[in-house]
Amino acid sequence: MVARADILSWLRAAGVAAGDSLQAMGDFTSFNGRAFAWLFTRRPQTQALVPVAFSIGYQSVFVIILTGFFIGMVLAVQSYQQFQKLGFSTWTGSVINMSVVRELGPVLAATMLAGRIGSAMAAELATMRVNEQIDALSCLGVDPIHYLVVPRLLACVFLIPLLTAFADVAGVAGGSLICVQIYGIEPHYYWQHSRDLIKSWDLFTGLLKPVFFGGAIAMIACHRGFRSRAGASGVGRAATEAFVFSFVAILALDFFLALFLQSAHDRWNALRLM
Amino acid sequence: MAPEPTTTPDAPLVQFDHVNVEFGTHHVLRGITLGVKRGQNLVVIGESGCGKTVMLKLIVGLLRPTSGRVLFDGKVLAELNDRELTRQRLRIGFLFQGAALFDSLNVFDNVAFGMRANGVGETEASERVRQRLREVGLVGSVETKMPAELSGGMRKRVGLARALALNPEIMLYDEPTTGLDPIMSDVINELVLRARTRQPMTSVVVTHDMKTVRRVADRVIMLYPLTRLNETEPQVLFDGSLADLECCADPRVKAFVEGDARGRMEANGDEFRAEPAASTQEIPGLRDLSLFRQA
Repeated sequence: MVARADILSWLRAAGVAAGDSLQAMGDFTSFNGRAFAWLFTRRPQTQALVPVAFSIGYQSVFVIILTGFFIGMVLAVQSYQQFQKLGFSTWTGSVINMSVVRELGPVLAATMLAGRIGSAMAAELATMRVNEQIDALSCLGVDPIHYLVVPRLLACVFLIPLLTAFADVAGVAGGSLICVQIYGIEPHYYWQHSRDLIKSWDLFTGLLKPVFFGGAIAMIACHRGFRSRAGASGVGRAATEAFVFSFVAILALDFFLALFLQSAHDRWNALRLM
Repeated sequence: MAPEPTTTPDAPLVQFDHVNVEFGTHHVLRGITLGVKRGQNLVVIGESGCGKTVMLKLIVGLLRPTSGRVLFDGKVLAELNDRELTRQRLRIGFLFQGAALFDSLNVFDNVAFGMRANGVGETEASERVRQRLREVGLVGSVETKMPAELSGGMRKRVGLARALALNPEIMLYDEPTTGLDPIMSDVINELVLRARTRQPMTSVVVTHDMKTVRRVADRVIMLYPLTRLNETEPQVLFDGSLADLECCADPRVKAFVEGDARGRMEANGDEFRAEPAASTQEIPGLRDLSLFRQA
């Protein structure tokens, strides 16, 4: 009897958890639907877009360049030792630059921005929710999703790829600084091998992924902010969830985009050969 | 800009029809049925957590009832589409408990916000902002200040100016004097009354400040927390004039009006009985403190 009661209780808890998860997913989908509906029906207000773009774009440039620079330098230190043992040290640059442009640049830049921008957006919107500013917008005849979410979505979708390009350039510079200046690799071969290996497709995919990463960061952060619970703990929780959920979304999106883009690339090559 | 009234002048502007509100398992409002006439100053009183603010948010469509209907000027708010709901909301002014000023905008832009968002020209908006700020007693350099630089009373007055800027037909005040000193509370009460002198206006004031009730009310409603009621008791304990409120025989109403909690504390003795204090001899810090006090 006890075992049966335990099983029933466990099943009930599992049912409630599944119901809550479904409800949360439905709410997130509906939130996204409303944001995208506004995106294509009405232009965001300039006075709402400019400060957000300034905060997301301009104020992130330094930190994103620093992140990219260190990624390139760390990759150089790690890969140079291996390549030198095999006698291929001049190929180090190609591996560093390929890694930076295709994977590490976009993913680490997006992760960095999820922490810097995503958490800040979630905390700001959560504070607005708690202080009833979002309700005040509704009372003044302004749709909060159009006024608050659409500018953030646009800024993230357009500026995160741009910031990723900065991170890529900084990563390439950091890698070359270590390889050429510290380890003394011949610059001509360093750059020659990089150019031979990295194709325009790699650059394209490396700058396409951040568009999706930016969209995910913006929507997750805004949703967490809008659904924040009351009080300081609610705001803190919204900021933490925004980062954690964005991080998971970035990794999952990176995997599925890699699969999709690789498949698209293979098909494109097959078509060209025909 | 605002839509014309759709019902007769005698019909209630706001109507609650058997309204129930539940948040998960928490039942906040039960079977509320009442109407607010045009031009009336209705004050809703009651203990914290009895659902007063929820009532205001139902009127402006920020919340939807779990069951029952809330009608504004004859229209069921829950059945309106977003565009129509926005049109109706522009007829309603809302002064939030913490004023809910936008942190990133200065006072002028806060007051002008609703007008700019709804197509009022910049010249007219500027004129109306200054007029509303003058009406609430704020002039000069205040316009360029950010909300963080304002005192509690000034924030409330800016919030009131912002709500009045759209020339609403009904004003909703959520705890307008909470957290203010007695003088500033009186200023706010006076402004609530003055808002009606400029144009005919209906007001719903939620408060637990009896000075506000005595100053501004035409009609008073007292709500009671459902946790203290049994299933059959109505949640609206009192509905009548200020004079009737003062001589109401219901002990729960009387206790609230007089601010007297002795009856509650006696009835719920266990709830309020303090734990026996630990001997100060057992706690060195407290022993030192008691010696200091004796000295």
